[in-house]
Amino acid sequence: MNAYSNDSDDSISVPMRRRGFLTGLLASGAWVIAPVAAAQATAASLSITGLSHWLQLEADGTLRVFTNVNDIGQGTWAALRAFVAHQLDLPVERVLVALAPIEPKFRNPAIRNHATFGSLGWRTGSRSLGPAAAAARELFLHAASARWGVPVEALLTREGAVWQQANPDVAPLRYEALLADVAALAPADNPVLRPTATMATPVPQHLAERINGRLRYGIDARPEGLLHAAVLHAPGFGARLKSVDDAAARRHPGVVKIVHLPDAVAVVAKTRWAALQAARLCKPAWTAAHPISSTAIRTQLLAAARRGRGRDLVLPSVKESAPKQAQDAFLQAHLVVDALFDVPFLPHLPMEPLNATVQVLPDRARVWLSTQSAQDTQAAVAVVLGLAPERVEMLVFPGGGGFGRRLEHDWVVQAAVIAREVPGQPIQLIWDRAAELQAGYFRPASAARVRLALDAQGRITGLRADIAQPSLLEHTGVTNPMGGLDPSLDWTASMGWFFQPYAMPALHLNWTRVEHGVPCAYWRSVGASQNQFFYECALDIAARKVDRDPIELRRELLAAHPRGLAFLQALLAHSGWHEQLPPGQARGIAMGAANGSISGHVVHVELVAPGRFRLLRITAAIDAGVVADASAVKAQVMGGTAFGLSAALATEISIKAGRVEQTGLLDAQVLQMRTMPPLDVHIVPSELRSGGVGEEGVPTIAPAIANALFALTGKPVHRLPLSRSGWQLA
Amino acid sequence: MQELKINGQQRVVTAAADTPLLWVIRDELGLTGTKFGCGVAQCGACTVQVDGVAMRSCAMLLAAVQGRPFRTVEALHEDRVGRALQQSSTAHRVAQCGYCQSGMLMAAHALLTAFPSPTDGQIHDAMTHLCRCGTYPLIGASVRDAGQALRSSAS
Repeated sequence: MNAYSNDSDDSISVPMRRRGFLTGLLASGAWVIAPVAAAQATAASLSITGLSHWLQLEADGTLRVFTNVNDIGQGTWAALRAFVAHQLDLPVERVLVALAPIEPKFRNPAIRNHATFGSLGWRTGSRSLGPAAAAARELFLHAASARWGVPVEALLTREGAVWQQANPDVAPLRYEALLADVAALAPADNPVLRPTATMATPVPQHLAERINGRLRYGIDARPEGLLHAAVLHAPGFGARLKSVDDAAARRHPGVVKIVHLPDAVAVVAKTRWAALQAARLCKPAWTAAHPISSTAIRTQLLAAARRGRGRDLVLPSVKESAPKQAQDAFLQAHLVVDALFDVPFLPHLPMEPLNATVQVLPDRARVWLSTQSAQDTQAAVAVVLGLAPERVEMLVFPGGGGFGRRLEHDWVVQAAVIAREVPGQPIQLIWDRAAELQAGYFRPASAARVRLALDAQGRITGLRADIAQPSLLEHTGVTNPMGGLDPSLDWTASMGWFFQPYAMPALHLNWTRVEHGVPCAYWRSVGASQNQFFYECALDIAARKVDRDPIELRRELLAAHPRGLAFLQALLAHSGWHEQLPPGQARGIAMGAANGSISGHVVHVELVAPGRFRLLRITAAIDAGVVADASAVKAQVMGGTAFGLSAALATEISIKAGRVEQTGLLDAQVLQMRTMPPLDVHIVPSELRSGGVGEEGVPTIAPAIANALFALTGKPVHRLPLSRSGWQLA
Repeated sequence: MQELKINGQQRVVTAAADTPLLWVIRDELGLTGTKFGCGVAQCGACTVQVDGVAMRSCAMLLAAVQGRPFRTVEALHEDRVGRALQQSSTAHRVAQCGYCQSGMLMAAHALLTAFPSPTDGQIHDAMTHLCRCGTYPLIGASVRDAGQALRSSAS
């Protein structure tokens, strides 16, 4: 997710735009080749500072590429690795991506943070690393030219060395042998990037380790003397620990310590099994939880959306955001479509359960962790332990999924507080699924009243959306200054409404902030996950109301957006949209834009019995601009589709008397393989700048199914999951 | 003290007999390829093979494997079925985060050993494992391809 970016906007300001970037580095004196500081590499290695700290060529010819984006299965590292190898003309096996230390110089300049979200890893990483690698390659050519006295034009690079074109018998000069020469050279200001069309297929760095059990995730950290911690969470939001009878737990063999926390009881033991058993022996007494119920919250959200007396989300940079014009459009409307929608709280449930290993030493701490937000986590742990951030050493591991949950750090802070009670000893806290779910940080439940103004010809002339949900910025522990940090103006609520390919003549977005005490967080695709459902379902309802083809209606809105129109055409063609269907079958479509990409789905359904349907085929498409790794892009869209499908069908978090009713993966109705319908993913070719791919498969699958079911029955879907609208898979 | 036959080796462990096998494998034997995902036999991330049968190790007590040989993902490459699965998984680039993969592969190995040409129904029945990255279509394809490769190399 990222604030307000679309394909034509430059809101991700990376100070590594081609023009001026290298000059800027020169001016700052950064462009030199120098022995690397000991902290970063062995004494034998050299780095091109200014390229700098991001690229480090070792004396043995290995190139280390640093990134501030963790590997949580999204494939970014493979693309960065292949891209840098290509620009430097190095064999891909000699390029290794590594996590950069949490230092200001390694922050992602677009978010001033060391964090993993919004497909920023490839989008900002490629824009900085590409020119840097290309400039380095040019330097090696120049250095060889000087050494040989042969013009650069007569040289070529291949596999990490410079060769003489006319004299292939002359022994090549390997890059690492030219490092000292390069130190004396200044890079060209505008390095020429090699076209990606000739780039080799990316090879993921850890693919083998992922299927032979050797990849270590945070949960696999095994520091010397490791103790194991298990927790019992308060059985409801707001409940506090009054007292605990832990006599039996204390006597349990292997138990080291029982820690009383304000909202949990933790057991530290020598083995995990002892910690789990002893936790069950604890008999805590809790104060009453807040009387929170998801049913009451739903009523409240729907009422707030119906009333629409919140805050107008108006952005100067969004020209279609025009409340006044929208009011006029409704005054002059021939017809108004008015629909009320709502969606539930949703869990992330990454396969690697939330866990953290923490060791608290007298003047510092160490944290072994799978995370999407190393920098914010470091800061939060430092605060709770009363340390300076740099005294908290972060040992970051690949994540077994994240989906936004690992942007938070609630469990890490809890682990630090527990570890403080056994000073000097590392403890590993693992939350079971019940603990994870009761901690909250869900995709917020949300309601929207969507009104569309139509003229006498059945054309859409205005849109008003009144949405009701809490402020994500209030809850989340990740700082993302890109879209502003003011919780009273939560820009994430506009995702999916603004920057769509549709030229909505006038759009009025009003957000009523409803805070209910349930912690909420970013969830794969964030605001788009619900808003594209509201938007796309409303379009189909409007089309039917004026007896128009939903495709024709969309084409009209896309008339001024050739890229969007081309995308729609491609999606329709791939799905066989115009092929005749037998009775009892229908197709539905939904599309949208986020993170600089356009994506969408067509779903082909069959009615089996009243309320029972079959998903015969899903067609997904994405225009993600220039694609570095088609296989990974397809895999991400496939995965996003499955993630969105799981939520669309039956997943929801329900809360009664402050307590989350779901305690496990099956309660949460996580999608299984047998439920996954046939799926094709198509990449719509594009020469535009790369957009996101990780979130883009998620938002449009639910509205595409809803629109197909609407086409089938004439009865619109107003509520997710579909099970709440009376629909189940046959 | 209990003697275990794991991945073709004899190992002695000291864990209590009622300890779930998963924690013995991960914490006492130090084989972290077998993953904890739920602890209640729902997700399948902890799947190992006991006497060649895919089992959820989080729901199996240490005492239950007494004298019975069992295998973890670390030994997957030791036979042709395991190698075929690893090859097809690599070719399809199945793994995203990869956390579910060791359990998936151990189940697929048991399936292909019993049924070299599994139907989709058999794959779905044998592999009820959960994957949140949504790699299901690629997992299915790689299991079918591995079966195909094994059949053609056998003939």
